[in-house]
Amino acid sequence: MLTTTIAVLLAAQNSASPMPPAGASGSFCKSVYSVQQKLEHGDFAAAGALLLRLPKKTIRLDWDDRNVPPAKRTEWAEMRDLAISNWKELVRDFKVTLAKPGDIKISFSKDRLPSPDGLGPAGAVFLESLEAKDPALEGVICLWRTEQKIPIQRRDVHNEVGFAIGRYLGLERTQATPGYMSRSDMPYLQDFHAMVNYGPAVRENFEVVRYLNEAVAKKQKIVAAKPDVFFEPAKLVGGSVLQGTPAQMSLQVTNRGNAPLKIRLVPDCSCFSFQLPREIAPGRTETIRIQADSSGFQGAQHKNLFFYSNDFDVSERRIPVEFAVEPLYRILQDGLGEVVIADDTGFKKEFFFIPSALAPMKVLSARLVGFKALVDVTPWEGVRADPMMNEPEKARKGYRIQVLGSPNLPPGRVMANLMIQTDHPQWPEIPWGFEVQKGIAAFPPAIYFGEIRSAGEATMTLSRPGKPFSVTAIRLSSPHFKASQRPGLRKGDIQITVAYDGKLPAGDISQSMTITTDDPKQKEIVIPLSGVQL
Amino acid sequence: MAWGMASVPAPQAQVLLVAGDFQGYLTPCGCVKPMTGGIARLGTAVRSMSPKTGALRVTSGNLSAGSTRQDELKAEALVEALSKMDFQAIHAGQSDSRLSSEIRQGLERLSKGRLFGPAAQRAESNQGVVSVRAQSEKPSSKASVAIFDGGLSECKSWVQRVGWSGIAVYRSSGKPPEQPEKVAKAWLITPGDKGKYLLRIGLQGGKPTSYGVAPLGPQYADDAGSRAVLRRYLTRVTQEQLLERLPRDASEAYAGSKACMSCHSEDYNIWSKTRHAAALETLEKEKHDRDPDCVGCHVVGLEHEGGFTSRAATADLKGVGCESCHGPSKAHVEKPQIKTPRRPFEACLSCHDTNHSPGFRVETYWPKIKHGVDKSVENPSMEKRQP
Repeated sequence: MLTTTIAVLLAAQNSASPMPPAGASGSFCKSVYSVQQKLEHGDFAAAGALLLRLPKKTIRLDWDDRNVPPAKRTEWAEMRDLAISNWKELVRDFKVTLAKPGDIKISFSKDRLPSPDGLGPAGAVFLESLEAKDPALEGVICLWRTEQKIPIQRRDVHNEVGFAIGRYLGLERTQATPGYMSRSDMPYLQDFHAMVNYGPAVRENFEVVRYLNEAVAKKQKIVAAKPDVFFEPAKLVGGSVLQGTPAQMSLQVTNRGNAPLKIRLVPDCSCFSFQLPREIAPGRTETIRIQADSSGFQGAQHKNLFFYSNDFDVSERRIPVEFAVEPLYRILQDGLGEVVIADDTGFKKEFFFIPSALAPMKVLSARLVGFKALVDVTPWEGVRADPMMNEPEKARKGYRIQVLGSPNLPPGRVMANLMIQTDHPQWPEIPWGFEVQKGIAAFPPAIYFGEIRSAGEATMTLSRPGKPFSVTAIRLSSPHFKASQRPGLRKGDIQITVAYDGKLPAGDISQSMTITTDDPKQKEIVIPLSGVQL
Repeated sequence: MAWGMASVPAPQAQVLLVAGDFQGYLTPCGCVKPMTGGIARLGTAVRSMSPKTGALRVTSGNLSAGSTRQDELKAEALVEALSKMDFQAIHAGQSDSRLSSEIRQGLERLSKGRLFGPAAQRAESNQGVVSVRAQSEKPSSKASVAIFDGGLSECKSWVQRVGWSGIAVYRSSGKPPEQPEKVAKAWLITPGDKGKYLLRIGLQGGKPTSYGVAPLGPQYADDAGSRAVLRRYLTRVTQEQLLERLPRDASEAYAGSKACMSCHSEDYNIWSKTRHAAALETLEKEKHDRDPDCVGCHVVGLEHEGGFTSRAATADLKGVGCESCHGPSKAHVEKPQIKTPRRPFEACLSCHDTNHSPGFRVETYWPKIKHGVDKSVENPSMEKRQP
């Protein structure tokens, strides 16, 4: 007890010592603490050596692209430079030169990289080291991703280099907001950025390093200080609320350490609202009140708050949040979420609107937005299950909404919105979406090459969800085209690639591809191939 | 007009041309002349405003406004036309994300690497034009032009928040302002919506020196290359039978305008001399007579079973006929005691809307087609006739 009190008092004398912010990586915070410990013991040489491993504004990057296919080297080097320039925009006076050995080393691997969580192959791995012989941060980017071995693209390189630099600068990986620090092992769908909100955390990290460097230079002893966060509960449970009423929860955060605790909460849902303290002094406990707006939800909700702190033992934690929303209404249907497949006679789809007994409402009318159909609303009583709410078959009372769609549907898959008008003042119109498709659909139904001078390639997909089919033959109207098929990205889909050799005479291209399927009702699907040969 | 001497980083270009937020508008409707916009005029305007070298041509906003097959064909035609005009950075916005992944792959191919934005593979173009969606996004230092997905006030807040020093293009509807707005170190501009305007910004040594807004009116003759793209687009619309594939509602039966003649001969004669009667011919001259975007307002009952299908099959339903305004009236023809189903003046605005008929006022348009036994209707008011 006495030791703790002395440590707190000493830490209080040392209050000018800046602490890493919430959002700093655990490894950065831990390294800072290691430097502080060396300084506390007067081992200034060791502290100085460790400080060399912490973020600097002028750094060397060792770019090892020996395993990169030669055709990709220039493009991927541009992606590296793009990531560097993005960080330079955010971090004043940040300079990166390409040199060996580097503070950061990036290399590429043809071989599978183990994932830290053991789930599938890693897209990249990042290792931090305090040893002088190693780079401070080493990143290895795999040349492919997922078990399907999808080759990486330029944006994968861009985002991973962006993450590596952010990690070197002492930022924690985040699962919440999209940006360089939200890295993933899946193929990236977009280029990320150095988000503006990274800036303050990086500046604070540099301030910590600057202070420690000064202490080493002045041979100033300081007390190693560390916040020690304890929060409870580890999982927030908001109980059950009626849809539209906020779910209330609270989180108690205690700082058991001897340095100020900084925390951040990042929700994965815009339904949350809360206010955070600037920091929590040693020995203090703060209660954070958290509200979740339940208007847009029904049934059991499983969400997350990502908790960040400057305690390196708890730099990031996911706090699961659970609450249950008693629905104001339920809309039941067979085959929930499935595409409605229409046939030659069109389609018929039934929905059952069941108002809650807690807040009864009447359905006044319903209409379909998306394409034309007849919509009929009648009072209904009967027995139905509600699988989404895990409710078995039971007697229910409400309205039957019957949608009769004509066979004259637009090509492809059509999104329809059933708009249900009610007498409830807060819910005057309730939308309910579903998709409709006639037979096997081609996406797109025609391939357009545009104006083309030389060879080119285009892809299309055939799809009929829930009703698998096979392509038995592909016939092309011209020998200048070749086609091949392979499974599409979605289960049951078939992707067809059409390659054109670019050797038709100049003028309009007006050819076709005839795809034969094993469906006797749709034996052949003709895909026009058009464009202009220049 | 000189608008400040602070430097804009990056562009080596001497002229920046900005068009955009096409929302699927390939051509002005043509219902009322002169209307502005269209890729054929844009092609000519771009050529006449571009110097021989040193022009950076950029589009902003969305290519499409929906995800129907026609929206897909329009997006392909737009990207092809803009590539032919040598737009180096073609923005595929948030709305374009609704297009299927297969179509977006096709757009990448047609753009020959010029596509960028949230619906494209790249957020930043090769020319340093970057797409910005979130308030906290800070583009790279290479970028000199930011295409911001939001209106003026959001854009102002963003440039201040990230300290953007360059040109930021925001989204707006209507005519672009006559001057760009300077906020901190940034210049905020907008080309309006539906591809109706082209902005020309002169740059010298990276500094903006001039600014002009060109409405794409009839002073710009149609560009041959863009006309060819439009022709191919209309051919594809016809070949893919988009008009025939339109979904149709069940409705009361139509009789056709000639069926009205025996009892309402005076009204029929008046109608037959109006432009309503020749509305389909107007469309045929413009080659848009199989275009679902246009035909609905030039025939009777396109959206209904039993409505217009083609000039050959449903000759009495061509043009804006009696039942366009009075509703499907076969029951009335067979039994005159049954009233026609629709109040006619309520039908006007379904076609005479602000996009297609910006000058429409029922008080001035009604006299052009005035008919009917109720001669007291001299100055009809839409409001008075609401039920």
